[in-house]
Amino acid sequence: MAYTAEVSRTNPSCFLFLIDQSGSMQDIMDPATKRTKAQFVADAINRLLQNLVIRCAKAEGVRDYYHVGVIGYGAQVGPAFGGKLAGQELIPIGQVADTPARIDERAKKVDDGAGGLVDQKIRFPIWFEPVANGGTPMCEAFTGAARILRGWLGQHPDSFPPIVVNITDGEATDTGNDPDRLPGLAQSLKQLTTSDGEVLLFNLHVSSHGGSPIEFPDAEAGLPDQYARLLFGMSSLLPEYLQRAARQEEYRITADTRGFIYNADMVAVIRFLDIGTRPSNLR
Amino acid sequence: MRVSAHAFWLPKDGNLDEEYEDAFQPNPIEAEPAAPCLRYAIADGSSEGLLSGEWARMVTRTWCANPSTRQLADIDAAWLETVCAEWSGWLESYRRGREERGRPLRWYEEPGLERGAFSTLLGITLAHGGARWYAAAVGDSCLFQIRGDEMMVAFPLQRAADFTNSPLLIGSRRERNRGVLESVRRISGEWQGGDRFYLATDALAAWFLREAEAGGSPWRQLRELAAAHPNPSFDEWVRALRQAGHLRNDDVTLIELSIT
Repeated sequence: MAYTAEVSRTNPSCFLFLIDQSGSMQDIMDPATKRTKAQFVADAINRLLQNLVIRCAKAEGVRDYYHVGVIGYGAQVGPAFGGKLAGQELIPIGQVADTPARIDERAKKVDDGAGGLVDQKIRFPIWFEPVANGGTPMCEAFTGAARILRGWLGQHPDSFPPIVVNITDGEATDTGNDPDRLPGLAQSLKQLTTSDGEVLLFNLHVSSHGGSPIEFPDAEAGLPDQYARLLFGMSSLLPEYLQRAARQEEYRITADTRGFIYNADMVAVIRFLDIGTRPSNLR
Repeated sequence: MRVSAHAFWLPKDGNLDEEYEDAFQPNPIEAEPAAPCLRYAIADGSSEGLLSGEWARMVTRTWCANPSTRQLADIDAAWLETVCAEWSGWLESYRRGREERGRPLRWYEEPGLERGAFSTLLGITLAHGGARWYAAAVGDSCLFQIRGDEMMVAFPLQRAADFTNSPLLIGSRRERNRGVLESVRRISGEWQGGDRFYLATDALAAWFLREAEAGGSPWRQLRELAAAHPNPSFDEWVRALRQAGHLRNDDVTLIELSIT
């Protein structure tokens, strides 16, 4: 149970993203930019997928180190990829790389190596557009995630454990007024295992409550509201390998640190993955 | 001085030969070269990054050929400038080649090419006059000098615990090389007839140091494997060590230099 299994094409790992597409996601997060929670969620999932693909990229192809699924929950609960990937629960990362819905082009100023800046075109793949519709059936999403992962674990019993990333405002509408229902389902998800460790559950909390972003806290104190505390409590403690990786990136990490982020970027999780030698020049 | 040289390499299990991202030079290695001054180098292209194998090959080839460092083996600013310039020319022709083949760069390749490729470098010069040797290293590829049944030198790392997953490496883009020249480790020494040198990339070097720390003589096993060259026993031996969990699954490269 040490999270030491090698991630390779013959022994891939798995990422399952759960994205909240409920009606409450149309709330404005930031009055200055009028950005909605749904836009934040779409950006977050697009950036996570983009960074995961790039970590697996080699010249002329992407190595299938991960199987990836995205489950949307709102008016419906189910696989959220569109186009050629529609309806598929888990697909190799290479297929995700090849089938974004569209690719945006933006200009970015970059160092020209001689003390100046030049414009460089950056291509941003987009898989998901903002969606905000219906209730927040998070319990159903967790149940579905457990079913999908049980199938995958049966075929990959010795792989590096799957990572589930749930992106939500935390306001589940299908708990039946049972405050323990959602934490119970989260617990069942985390109890699924490979021979290398338990499934990891990370939560990215998208809130219009404001306040400063929070990354990888180690205590409830200081969290802005009940939803943040709920999601924090459901999130996995960072296993030792992730603690090490996070410390290398200069996060303040303790044994109580959990995979929880409040109104910030979760792309750090992708950087923490061990897919081989990473030159320290890149830090 | 007569040198008998052998090189061995094997990609990571699960990877194809063309996915091997270490490099060694000269390649092919000449078993009994004759010259007053001989240079050998190995490099380990970072597994995170694009075209790392190509970069590792260019790093070793240019380092062994660079006239400014022919006598004293060194990794210096002039060489670094040369190899980065050669890489940007090569990369331009690579981009053009991809377009001509109808396979232009995909969106996911661009960030990696932008960051550049990264590699270790370990090089040694054996000089005939004065029976001296000189070595220089960036990163965790290692050199071991063996005399009789004793390890005289382990360089640049001395302990198995010194290996990390994020060494400072030589980047193909100039702006990523801040601190690299300052990190170059240098060493020199004397050689005698009968000495052997091993140049090994990290997975094998870590195994070597672990064995030595446990009181073993890993050089004996490598000697036997080199003596049996070129039969496939090296590949089988590496695979068995990986299977048993004694060797990290990574590209493996080894040069043995035996002086008589």
